[in-house]
Amino acid sequence: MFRRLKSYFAPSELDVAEDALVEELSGLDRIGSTIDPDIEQDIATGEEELFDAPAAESPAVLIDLITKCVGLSAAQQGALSAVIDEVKGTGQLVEEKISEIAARFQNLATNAGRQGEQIQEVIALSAEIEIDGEFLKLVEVPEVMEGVLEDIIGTVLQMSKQGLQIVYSLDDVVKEVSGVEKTITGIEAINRQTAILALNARIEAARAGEAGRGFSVVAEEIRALSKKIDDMADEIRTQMRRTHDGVTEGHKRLLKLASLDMSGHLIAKERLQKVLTAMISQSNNLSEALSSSGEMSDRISRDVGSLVVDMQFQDRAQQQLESVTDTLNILSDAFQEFHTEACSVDGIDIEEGDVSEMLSAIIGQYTLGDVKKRFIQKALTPGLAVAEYVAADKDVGEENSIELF
Amino acid sequence: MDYTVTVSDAGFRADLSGDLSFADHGRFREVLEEINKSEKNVVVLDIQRVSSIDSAGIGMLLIAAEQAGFRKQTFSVNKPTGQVERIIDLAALDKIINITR
Repeated sequence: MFRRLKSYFAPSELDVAEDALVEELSGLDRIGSTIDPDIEQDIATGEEELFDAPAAESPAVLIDLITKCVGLSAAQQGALSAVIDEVKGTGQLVEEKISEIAARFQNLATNAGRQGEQIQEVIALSAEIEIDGEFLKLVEVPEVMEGVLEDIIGTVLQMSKQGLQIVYSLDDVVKEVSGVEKTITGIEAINRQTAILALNARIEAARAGEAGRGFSVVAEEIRALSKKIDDMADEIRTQMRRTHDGVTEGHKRLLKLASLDMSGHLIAKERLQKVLTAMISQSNNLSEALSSSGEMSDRISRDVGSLVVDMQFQDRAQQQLESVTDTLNILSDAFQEFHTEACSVDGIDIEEGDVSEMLSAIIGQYTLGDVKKRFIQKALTPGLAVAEYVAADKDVGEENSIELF
Repeated sequence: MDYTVTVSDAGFRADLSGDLSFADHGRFREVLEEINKSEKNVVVLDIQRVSSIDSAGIGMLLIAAEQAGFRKQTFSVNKPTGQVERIIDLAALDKIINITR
């Protein structure tokens, strides 16, 4: 190509044009993978026309080709600028969202940790009970209750034994009282015989006349004495009957009391022990379940904490995006330099319509509406700042928020 | 309650059978009197054929043990079974009386 150009231009002008084209083509090669196939076709067509143009054609044809190259370069610069802002905006968006997510995860880890602590408190509280201001471990309750129940059982056994001993004693008393009544009956019988003897003595004394007068006085005294004994015997019998009746009534009542079966208290002890054992077992199961839940909360807290650390990948991704942006800026500067130099050549005049036509070809390839809009804004408004880009992104996002993956 | 008494060189032995409840306290007192009469150093009440016992029955065994203690006799209750063994265990009677299983 340059051999043919030498026939139309002075050597110094050709050197300038050659350097610009080499730089442009080098840039194109570097970003070849990002260029639209139609634009590549335009480049190929331009090169073909440039290289295959007959030597006899006028410089106007070459000027026209170079103008197209410059226009293409301007379009690529605009596209690169839009891509750079797209990358920057994406990086900024990712950073904001990752920060929000990391903060939420951090809260989650903190809350999970607190939950684990609260569960440990519940376990500690459920392991003890308060009785009259003293704390007693739940596992020690059966032992304490065992002691209380043994005291109750001991009292029951003593009551049974003492009750029977009193019954046996009263049995003896009832027998003794009956014996006393028999004795009184014997006394009364003797007394009756004594009274008869006294009466007989008086009769015999009367027969004896004056000689028996003294004997009659003695017989009267014996009769009187017998009468007193008889009265006393009646009184003792009456008293003994009252005593007998009282003892018998007490004996009956004691029999009723002693016959009460207290073995139910013994069986109640067995039942109470089973209930206590079941309660302790239930408490232990609950503590184990709570402990397991607490461990799970701790694991969640640790895992979420690790997740927050892992999300620092965003820093590395941001650095890589900045590296890509720097590379694209270098390319954009190269296009700008080429454009400036080419426009300084006489006869090179870039019409805005030429660039728009190429940009339209690029825009036609976009499938996401919001990206397309931002590209149009940036490519046709090169001075748009990143902040405005983000604002535009939000506006577009609200209008077209359903365009997700 | 019924009982049979055996007195030998080995000592005094009474085999009890049936129920041992308050209604039997009169019969049991006969056993206590037999123990007193025997004047043996070893006293055994075999209750393997006693089918049921209540708190009064436990009280009777305690009285027999106490009486034997007053007389410096060696006292034991042999072979409780079934409901009788359960009540004796619940009462922890083996802490007071020598129970031979």
